[in-house]
Amino acid sequence: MKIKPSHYLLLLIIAAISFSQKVHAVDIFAWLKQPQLPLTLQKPAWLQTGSRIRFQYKANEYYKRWRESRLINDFSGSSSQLGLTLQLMPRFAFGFRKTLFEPQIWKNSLEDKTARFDFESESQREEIFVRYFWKNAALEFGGGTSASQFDGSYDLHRDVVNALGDNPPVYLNNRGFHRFARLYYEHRQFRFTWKRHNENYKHRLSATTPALDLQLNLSHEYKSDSIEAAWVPDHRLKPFIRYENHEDNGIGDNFKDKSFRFGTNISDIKITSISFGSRFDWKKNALFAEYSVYTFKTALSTNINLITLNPLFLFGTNRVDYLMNFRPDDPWGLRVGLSRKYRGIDYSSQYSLFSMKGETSLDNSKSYNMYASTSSENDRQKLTLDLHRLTISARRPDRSGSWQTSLNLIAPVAEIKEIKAATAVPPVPGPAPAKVSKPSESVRGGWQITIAREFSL
Amino acid sequence: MKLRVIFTFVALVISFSLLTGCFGGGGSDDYYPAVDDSIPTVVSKTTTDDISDTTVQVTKAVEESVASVDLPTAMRADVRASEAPTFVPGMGNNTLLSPSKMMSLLAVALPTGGNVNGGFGMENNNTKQIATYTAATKVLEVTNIATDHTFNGTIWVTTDYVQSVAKFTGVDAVVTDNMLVEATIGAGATLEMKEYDKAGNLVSTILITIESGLSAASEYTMQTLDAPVFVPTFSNVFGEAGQNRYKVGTETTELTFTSPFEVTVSLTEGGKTSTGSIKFTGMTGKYTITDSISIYKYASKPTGGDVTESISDVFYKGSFGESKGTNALAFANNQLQLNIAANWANEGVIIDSFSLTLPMQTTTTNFAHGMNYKVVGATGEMQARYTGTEAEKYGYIKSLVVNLSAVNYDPTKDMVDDGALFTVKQTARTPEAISDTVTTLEYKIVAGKPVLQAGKGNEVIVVDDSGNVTTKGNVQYTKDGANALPTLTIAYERTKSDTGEITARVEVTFGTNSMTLFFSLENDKTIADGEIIDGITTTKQGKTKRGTFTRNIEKKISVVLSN
Repeated sequence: MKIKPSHYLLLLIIAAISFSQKVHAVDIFAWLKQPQLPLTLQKPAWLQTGSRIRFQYKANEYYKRWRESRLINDFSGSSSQLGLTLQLMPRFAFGFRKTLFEPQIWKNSLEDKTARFDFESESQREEIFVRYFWKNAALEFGGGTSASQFDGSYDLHRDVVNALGDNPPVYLNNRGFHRFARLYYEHRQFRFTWKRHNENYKHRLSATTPALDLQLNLSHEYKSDSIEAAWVPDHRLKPFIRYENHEDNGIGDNFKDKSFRFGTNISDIKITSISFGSRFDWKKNALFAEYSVYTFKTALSTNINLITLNPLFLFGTNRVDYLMNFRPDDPWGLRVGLSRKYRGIDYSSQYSLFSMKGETSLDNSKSYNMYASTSSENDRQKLTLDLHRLTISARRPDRSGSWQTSLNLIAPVAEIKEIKAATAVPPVPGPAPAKVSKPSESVRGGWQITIAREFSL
Repeated sequence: MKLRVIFTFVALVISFSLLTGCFGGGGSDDYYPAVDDSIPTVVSKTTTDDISDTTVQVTKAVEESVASVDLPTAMRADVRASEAPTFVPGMGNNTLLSPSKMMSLLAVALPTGGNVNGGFGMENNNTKQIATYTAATKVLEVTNIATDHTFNGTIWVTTDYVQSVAKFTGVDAVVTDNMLVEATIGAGATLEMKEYDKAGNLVSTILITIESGLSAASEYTMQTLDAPVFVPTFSNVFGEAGQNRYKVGTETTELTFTSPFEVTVSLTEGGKTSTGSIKFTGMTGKYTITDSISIYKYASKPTGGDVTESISDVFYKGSFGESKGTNALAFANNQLQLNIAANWANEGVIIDSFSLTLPMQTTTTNFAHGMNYKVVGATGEMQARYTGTEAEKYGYIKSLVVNLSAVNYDPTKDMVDDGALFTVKQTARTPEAISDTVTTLEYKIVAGKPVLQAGKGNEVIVVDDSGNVTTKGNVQYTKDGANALPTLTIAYERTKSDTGEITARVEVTFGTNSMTLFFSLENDKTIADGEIIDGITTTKQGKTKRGTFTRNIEKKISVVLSN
């Protein structure tokens, strides 16, 4: 079975936390962006000194799908950002970055009821930072806030809908506070970076039904560490190694009418990766290749007391519990790229493949008969994901600053197969189903264009 | 809550009672005061606006009266049934209470031990059964023995263990040639069923007592055949398989009901005890079932070959052909009164009463298994409460009242017909102080309409037979920081017709001044015809108009007062 659009959401969430520290963002490409070029090719951009102001605009279309000229999937949006850096002293600078607007569309109108949703989102983000420069080192630290809001509808789980009597409009609010610090150090032919990012953010999913108001909460504590070391000798090979660790722990209670608790949500995600590779110089090009191995653990659980949602469930299903586990087998990644300067313009390009496969397990249990009885179901699916990413960037300096542009292409190739219990008796062949003409479909997407202008002050 | 849950619930009660013949009794007390569903809970609010100003008063009144109009009210049509409720402890979804099943077991239980198929409590053909009857004490004890297969690493080891023991008391039986051929039970008879796990630990105990209203007698005739008769039940190109019958006979069970008929149940499971009762009032007469039965061994017959019996050499008992029955029941005033009570003592959930009045319409008097009646215009009420301390676990319920009316049930269908009306009223507890009553939530459900409403939680919603939905609410405003001002009271009544037209009447009182607002709400939620009438009135015709008001697409309310 080819992956359904609904599964993209799962994959996106998984991938988002795998690759991004911008957990607050609603820009899919920010979630799925590739790492910066290795230290052996390029020093971090934030080491640049001098006062400047930067405008950036992004337009993206992750996925659009039409069926018989009707748009049934739409994951697209745009973003505009402003950044200011003031170099007050040769060794000291500070500044801020702000997202001016970031509207996004999240739509899936397929008839698959468990997957249908239609959201529009908007997000804001502000952060300030301080930098200090030494002769061979630099330190940046800062913090900020972020918020995003989703308005729309989502088909809730049928057990919940049963309890509510309806599938109400859904609002998702996210708020976060983050701190970060990063260090760069170099000594002779050795380069080193360290980065830490901590973020506390809260999701609040709310819905109003005829009978009650619902709030589903999840508060996260996210932290990540990243270390990269590179050796840049006067040699054609310039090796580097990078280690990353991401942990995200979330917990929250669900409330009816703001005071009656009817469930708890828990999430636990941990990803680590080790990457190693080398730069190769060939003619005027700086090439690199990198191989990564990952460990990946995800567990999400929630429970809902249906009696609280509707008292008549006292005599029906009292409570439902869900637990999802995903631990892929040895995910790996490969990244190659090049960088060169041509006619005063800095070009860079990199392609990466991330591959993982594993088994997702969803346990669903129901308590009934005054909690005396429990029935359980287990759904397992084999998930295979190959995520292809290509980034082409260019930077053209001029007297007053620079122009920057980049093109990101993303192509996830995923497959999900349901694992069914072995059937003892083969089914009796029945009459062949009537052939139904498949409606015509067209798909577009997986691109993002960024244009930025930087002015030196 | 989905309708199908309620439907399933009601359908189960009715079908369970009528189709399996489990009857019993229990009373209901008027524990709860009568529910006045015409008065919504008053909501108190404060505002910094000048509520002495008429424009503010009108604005507040209109805003409050339409605040819940945008809330969705339609239920999904594709609702899914949840787990069927086991309404009375130990009774749901089993046949322990079926008198015919009881008697079937009695009739075939061999005093010296044997194997039966299809009797009560039988889970599979491998279950063995040993029965003993003691005439002096009128006790029949039936032990079910199951077989467990475990692999010890080398071979599969087969172990027999006691799965359950059923003990009947008050059984009058006749044993002839070491065989139970007649049995009778009546009021006072009990059935105690104990279930064990493979390690011999007691898992559950259920005790059923026939309190009154039922006597049952079973007659059993059995003829030993001169020679076994092979009856194929399956065939293919290789041959046939089926039963090698040694004995054939009939089994007749006659149930005689007097009113009231009552059964009580006690269930102990997992250290928790629960009790319940079912009582039928108004039903008298006889109900008879006759089955053809046989004693056989499994056998096969290859094409062109001889009959070969299974090497297990086990006798089984089973029925064949269709059951024949006679329904000679009568219902006083053509209706049946059903009362159920239940108490999950360890959990603190108590159903003080559940009563159903079922107008019965006979559909057939000849049947296979069960009695087929149509129910038209049934009504009922359930009163439940929670007395435990785990308020959160049980949804913060303090008390629950469910009223049913216009319930029609056709036994050939799974669900109650469209149009059944369910009114649910819940009194909730606060999470902080579970003894406090803080919330009364009421809503009505019309099967098939489909409508589920509770407004803002404080409103009263009434759905009439035509599908019109009337929403009533009361709100009081006081001015923040200025308690000397009178309270602004708003009482609204908004009606949405079955065609979607919304009209409203709002009573506004501020001190000695009062007025009534009349308006209709367009599809885009604008108001073009708002009228302000002096005083409290139910109609605007012939009354003094104080002004008009409108509401635009941005929900802004504009008031024009007459000079």
